Amino acid sequence: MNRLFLNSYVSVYIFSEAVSLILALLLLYITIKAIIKWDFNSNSKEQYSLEKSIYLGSITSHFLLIVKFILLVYLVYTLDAISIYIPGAMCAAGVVSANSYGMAMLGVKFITIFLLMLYVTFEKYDLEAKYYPIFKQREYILLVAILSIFIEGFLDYSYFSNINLDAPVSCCSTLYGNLEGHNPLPFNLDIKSMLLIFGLLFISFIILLILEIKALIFIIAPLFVAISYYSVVYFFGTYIYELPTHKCPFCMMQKEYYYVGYFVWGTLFFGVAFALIWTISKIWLKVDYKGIKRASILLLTLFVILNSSYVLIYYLKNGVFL
Amino acid sequence: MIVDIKHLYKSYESGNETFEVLKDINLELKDREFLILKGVSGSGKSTLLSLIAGMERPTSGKLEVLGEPIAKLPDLHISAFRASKIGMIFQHFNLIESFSVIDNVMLPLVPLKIKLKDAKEMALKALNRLNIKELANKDVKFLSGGQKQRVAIARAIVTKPKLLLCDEPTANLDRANAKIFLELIEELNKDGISIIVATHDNIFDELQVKTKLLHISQGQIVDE
Repeated sequence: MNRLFLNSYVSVYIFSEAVSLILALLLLYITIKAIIKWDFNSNSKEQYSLEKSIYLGSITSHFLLIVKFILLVYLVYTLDAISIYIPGAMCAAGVVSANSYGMAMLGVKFITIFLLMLYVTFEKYDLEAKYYPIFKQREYILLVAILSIFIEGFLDYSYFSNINLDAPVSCCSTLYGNLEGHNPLPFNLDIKSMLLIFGLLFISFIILLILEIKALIFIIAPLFVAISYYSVVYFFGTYIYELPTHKCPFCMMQKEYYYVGYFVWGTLFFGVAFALIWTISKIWLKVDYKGIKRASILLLTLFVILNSSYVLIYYLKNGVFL
Repeated sequence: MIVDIKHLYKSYESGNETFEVLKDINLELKDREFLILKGVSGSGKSTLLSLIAGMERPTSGKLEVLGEPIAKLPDLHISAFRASKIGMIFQHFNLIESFSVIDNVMLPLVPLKIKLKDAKEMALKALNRLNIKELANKDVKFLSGGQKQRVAIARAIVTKPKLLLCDEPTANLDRANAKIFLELIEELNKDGISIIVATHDNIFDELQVKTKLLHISQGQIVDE
């Protein structure tokens, strides 16, 4: 067994994930039963019993959504905390890159939370609609979310058990720095062009949401996530660290930077997730959840304001840009 | 049809034991009908009322109230349905003692999101109908049993329900107050409210309106 499992942060994380896996197993049983046997018009004992189980499943899925969100934040905190045990790592960036499972694990965690959020939205619609018109569809979404939780569990275990505490890893400067003149930005973009695209995509995203041009939102959303990631790491982040050479998506989640990274990435993730959920609801359910759309616009705007404010404050304080 | 029940079963499980409280209940209540469910304590009549009110769900069987499959709806719809369509009167009145009479009567209007001014007006109308308007601002704890029962009726009818469910409504009343209660619900029935009373009190034999009588024993309807 990897010695890392004895670390208190890691053991608490693994234990909590194991509990969530057990809950997911229970949920899987209920969901499969519901998909196979659900018949709203039946008055049989099995149907009434199934309706009771569905209630339990609903509570469990809501609980899992909250737990998964808290565990994601806790995981990032843990990765940062254990960086002192891994040679070469200065923050969570080095720890994540300790093996090939790290980034996949983080990615799947975001997908799980998104799927659970989508399920909760569909469930809300279904319950408000009285006679469960989209019951099976919502259960299929839950089924995919449960599968995502199992993949997460596999990646969690594979990741932590394959971290070699004796092998050095790269620090964030090596991983994200501008080494040997290599341009890390996609399509060989320079910073100015990247920022221009970032601004244009942000404005387009907001306009598409306001004008409700749904099909284009699916195209803009992943592009905006990608350009935001590069913009934060290679431009805005340097103002958060007040150091032009410090390029890292994780260090900003440390105490020294007032944990601002959690808000930066949190507003981006939830802003985009809400936009997608609003769009899917509008297309699939033909329902306009204005609150979700407003939340999305607000969060995306907050994301841009939060990042830009670091640049502005630095300029006001020092009279120059980095 | 106000209530339509077919092959209804209700059981509770405790450990490995199963207690069958209701067995194969078949019942129909038409518009403006007055049904008396008679039976001794523990016969299952209160459970049947709880099922009709959507406060519990059956183990199996058809249960429709005002055309809605009440036992199968999501909780938020059951609550909304009960709040707007069903009035309930309980043996122990279930009033909030520290609240005033009018506040107790206004309570069922809160989930219906009726404006405070309108709710007050509706509550006063209900109190007026039961001739206790002058008690509106009195605290419930200072009322007699008979007065509390009237407040409970006012609270049950304030939402203008189609169906009134009464669970042992005269059990805590003396004979004089029980007779007044009979007169009041007779009037409500004449005004178009369908009523189901679960009781073991023979005083209901004195009702003047046409009633349907069902005897319930050990969870089964034994005769009509």
